[in-house]
Amino acid sequence: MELKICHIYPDALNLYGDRGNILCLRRRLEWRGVGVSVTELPIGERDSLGDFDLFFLGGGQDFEQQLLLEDLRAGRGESIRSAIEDGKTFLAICGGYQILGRSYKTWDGKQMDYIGAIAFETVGGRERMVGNFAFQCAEESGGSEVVGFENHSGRTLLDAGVEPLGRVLCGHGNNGADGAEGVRYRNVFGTYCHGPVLPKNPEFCDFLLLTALRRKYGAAELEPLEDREERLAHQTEMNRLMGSK
Amino acid sequence: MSGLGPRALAALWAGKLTKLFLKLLGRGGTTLPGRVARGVCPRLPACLAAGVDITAVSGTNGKTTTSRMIESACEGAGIDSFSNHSGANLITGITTVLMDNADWLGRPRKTHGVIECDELTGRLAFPLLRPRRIVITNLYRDQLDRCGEITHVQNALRAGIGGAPEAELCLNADDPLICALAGELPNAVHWFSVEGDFPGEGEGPNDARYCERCGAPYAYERRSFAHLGAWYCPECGAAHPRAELLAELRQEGEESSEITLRWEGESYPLTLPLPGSYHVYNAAAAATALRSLGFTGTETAVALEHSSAAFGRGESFPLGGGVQMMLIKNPAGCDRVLHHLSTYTEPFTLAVLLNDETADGTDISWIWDADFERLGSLGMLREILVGGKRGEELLLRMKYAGMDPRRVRLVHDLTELVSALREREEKCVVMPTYTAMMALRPLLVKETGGREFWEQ
Repeated sequence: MELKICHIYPDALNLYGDRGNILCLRRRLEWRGVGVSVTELPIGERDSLGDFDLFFLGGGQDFEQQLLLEDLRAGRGESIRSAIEDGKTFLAICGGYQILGRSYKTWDGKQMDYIGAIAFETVGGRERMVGNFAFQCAEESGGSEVVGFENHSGRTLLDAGVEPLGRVLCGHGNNGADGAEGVRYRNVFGTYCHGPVLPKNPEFCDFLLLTALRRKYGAAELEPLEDREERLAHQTEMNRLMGSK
Repeated sequence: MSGLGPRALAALWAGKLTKLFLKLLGRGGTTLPGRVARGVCPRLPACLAAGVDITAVSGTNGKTTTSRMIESACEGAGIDSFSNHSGANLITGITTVLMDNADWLGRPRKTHGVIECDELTGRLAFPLLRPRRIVITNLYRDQLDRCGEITHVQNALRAGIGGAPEAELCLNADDPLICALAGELPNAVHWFSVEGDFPGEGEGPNDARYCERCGAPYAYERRSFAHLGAWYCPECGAAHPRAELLAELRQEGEESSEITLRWEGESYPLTLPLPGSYHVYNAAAAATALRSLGFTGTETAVALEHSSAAFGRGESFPLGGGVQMMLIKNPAGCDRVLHHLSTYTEPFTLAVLLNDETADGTDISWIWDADFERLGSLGMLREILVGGKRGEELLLRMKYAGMDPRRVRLVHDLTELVSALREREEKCVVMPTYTAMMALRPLLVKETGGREFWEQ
């Protein structure tokens, strides 16, 4: 078995820790003897997305987001939409999650159109939602508890009928109001969780890998790993967070 | 200066009394007196700074070391100077040190101040202090949870400098993020630049990939590390400004670097006695400020040869086989320290301490962008100790960096760490985040009979 991972816009969507997610996906496949390759697609690159199995979109800075919006309009947006409809697996974080929606409205009324692959929109708030947080994935997204760090001013509102990735256990999640965190649409996993999210949430990481492997090979299993350090980091932070709630 | 208004005078007295009270309690009091005084009169720093020749030092990395270089050079030259060397670099700490320098009527005791200033505090502090010169070392992504994005930091500095139009700017020409912020300012600018073969040249996190004028990717004639170097934009022609002062790194050693300063056609070779080649940037920044203070080339070189490590930044303690503390706070700085470790020729132990208090940055994800993978190639590295409030996350980071788990040990508190350090026969390098450093340092001081930071 082999997974081909594509890191979209590593040059613009590369806020703290994103490298850790790619590293985690890669290592957890290598440790099980599954083949893996990682390809970076920076702004301006016109390669087709058809060959890849798993896509990663990270968070970005405002200045770089402008360059990226132009690139999305120049064709990349369309290719991301078709990869999503084709059932490819996506992990999209924060800014990368937001651009999959219809639009972003700043709090003073300016609107930016995004690629509209999934039915939700994001509205900027004056107060940033910053801090450690935790959520529980829905059953169809593996059901595991995820702990990490959120840092966003955008409030994301999913349209009726669109499923969140999970429910907030502690912190803000999508908008600080409805208890929803992230989005799950086809094989897209969108979340506000930095940290980076994957290394200390190994069950969530394995669920993504399995989703991509099953889409490609029909049936697939991943042998369990020892995960001693992973579990220790996860549990320590989870206890600290839920204890202080 | 004399004649503080009644409100400023009341503020000064409130602050000074707070300081006395804290001293009676045996505490340092580096920020609380300033907070109390500013509560009474927010403009007090402006009143106390009037008539003082102030050099403000800001930027992401190297502020404390650069300030210390300038201040010790002033001391050596017989210039009466003071500084906030405790690293209390927010407006409260700055106000405290200005009050310390004032008598009970608000008259300054010393004529020159070297004030380290947090990047975001520049907006508030520069217009109040009206510094004669402002030094900006570099800009990196740092503490996204607090500072937000880099453009936000640039705007804060630009706004601050806008309130001090007469200040001479001493700026890093190698940093495109600083060049972009200096573009439209009326101030006189002295640029400095650095050349040399840095370990891992051009590697590391790049916080400035695209031209802020036209959006094209930057290119480099030469690159030091991260986004620093002789940059230019191939599309719009924006480029590295011509520097008045050039510092060349000739060789990096375990405890010092050989460098040459060049200005006005003259060369001044010297040994910079600080561990870590990245300090050549701090030396260049300090030299540019000293030049504006009237130092000759020879005087500057001699002063820099007598530099000593600022607290926690390359500072050594004679405990066990020797402990060296190298503060880390962001991926760029951490990578520089990791590169420095490759100069070690004797076996050593490494201890990394990660806290997530406000002063450290509550978002610890940056450790995944730092190049801990390098540790695998260090032949002299023996054991790795990890600890701090988020020590478990470091343990996991070391696993993903490919370290053999048998070489990595989680220490649960600082007492355990200090015992481990005491028992070592080999050198130990401690890389703590800010609050971990502040907590560990007094323990090391107690063990080895040194001085607290506010007594330095």
